[in-house]
Amino acid sequence: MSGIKAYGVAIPKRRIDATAIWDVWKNVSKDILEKMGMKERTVTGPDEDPISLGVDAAKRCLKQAGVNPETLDGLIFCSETNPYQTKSAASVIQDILGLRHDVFATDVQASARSGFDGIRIAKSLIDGGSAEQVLVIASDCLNQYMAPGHVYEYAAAAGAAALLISKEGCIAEIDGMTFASEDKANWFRLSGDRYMQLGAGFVGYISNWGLMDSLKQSWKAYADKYGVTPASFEHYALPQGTVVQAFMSSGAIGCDPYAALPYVVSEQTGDMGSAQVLISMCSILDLIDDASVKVGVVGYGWGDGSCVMGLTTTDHIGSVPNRPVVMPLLEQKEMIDYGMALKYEKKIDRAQKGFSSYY
Amino acid sequence: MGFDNLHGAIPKVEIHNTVKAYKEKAGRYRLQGVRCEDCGTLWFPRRFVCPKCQSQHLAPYLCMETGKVVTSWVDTMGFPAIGYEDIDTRVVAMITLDDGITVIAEIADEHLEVPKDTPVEMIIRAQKRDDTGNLTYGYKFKVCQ
Repeated sequence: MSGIKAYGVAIPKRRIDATAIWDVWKNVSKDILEKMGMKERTVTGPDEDPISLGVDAAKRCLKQAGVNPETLDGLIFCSETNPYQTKSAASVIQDILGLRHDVFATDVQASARSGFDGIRIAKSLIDGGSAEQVLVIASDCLNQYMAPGHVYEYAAAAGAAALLISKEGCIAEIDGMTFASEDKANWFRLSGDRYMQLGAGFVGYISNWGLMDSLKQSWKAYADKYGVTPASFEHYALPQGTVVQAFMSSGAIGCDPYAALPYVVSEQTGDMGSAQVLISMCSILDLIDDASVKVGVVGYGWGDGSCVMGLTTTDHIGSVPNRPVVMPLLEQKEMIDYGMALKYEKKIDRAQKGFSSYY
Repeated sequence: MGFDNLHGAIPKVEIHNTVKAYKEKAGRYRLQGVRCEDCGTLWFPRRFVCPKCQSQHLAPYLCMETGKVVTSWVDTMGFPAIGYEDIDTRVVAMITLDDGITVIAEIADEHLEVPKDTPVEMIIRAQKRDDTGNLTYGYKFKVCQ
């Protein structure tokens, strides 16, 4: 059975405090920040984007696996904020990592669920015999596409996760995956738009109840297909754009919220898009040393749908090198102010052609 | 020194050539240089003729991605370098890689000079936009944590 052989994570070093944004805009009641668990979020540097973060995560993943990039059979780059609208970003990463040229390298763009879609494709390729090892990278920079003054600016952040999906030597086998998809009036960004638009309200019907609606469907499909109950999994990685979403998701599934809360990272990082739940999953894998531990991974994508993935750890997980991965990256941070964040996220309008201040 | 005549000393603006950047991408992406098959000397960036023994038998060689800082300096010439306006303090360092090759590269996410012998590792960042507007990715270094 195919599963996860190694994992890597990248989280930008720069962070901004939610209160630093609130001091400028004051567009929500301040206690909302605390209630929704929005404390800090990551800010990409002037030279960071989904590709550079994805490469960072992928290098950590390949180092943990001890795998030569030339032996990989595929690379799937999953992002909802791909820098390229036509060209493939996967081919750039393929060249940077040094993969062979005769591999399957493609991009997946399907909201924050993209990472799960990539894992599903990789698993199908491996189970079908077309590939032995496929690298899946989920990377997003939501912060660069969130308008200044928007209420989600407190949460929209950046991060990347990379998973090596393989047939042999897995640290966690993928028991199964089920999906639920529906056209929901949620976040979107049309081609040419600078910023993302919110479909039907930040705390409105679609954003919150839509999440729970979709999770119920994909969870029911998983429970029926594999005969599991919410108590079958010891640990959960749940949707967590804001911390409150994790509570809502646990309610929709019916699992114990305390099986997921220790692994909710969004209070420190914000919403990292397609990488968010996978980074939470990596923080679970960081702490497990025993075989046969069941982990439930649940993802939700804006205006797209949800996914449930069941993992069972194997004997190999105890001997994984370079762990923990997530915690050191969370601790390594540099706080910046709001002006610098706007500059780094390229939200300040300025002359396009000027060479410098002197020309 | 100085401006000797009107046409001679106009500060030159770097011309970024897309085709050249494409041909040299293995060096930018993976620090791929060459090893002389006759005298064994390593070269980065790649050469077509060994500067030491003039041999043309050069094989691709992947440089080590870790090294130590020899010296570093903060780019503080009063205004940002062309193409690098977004980077407020740009730290540049001379780095000796673990296989002995010395490169000059930017140290990402730092604001002060990096002390001598600080261990660094190679990372990939968006360097700048080329003359067609496309993004150019390439190596920088960051301090090992």
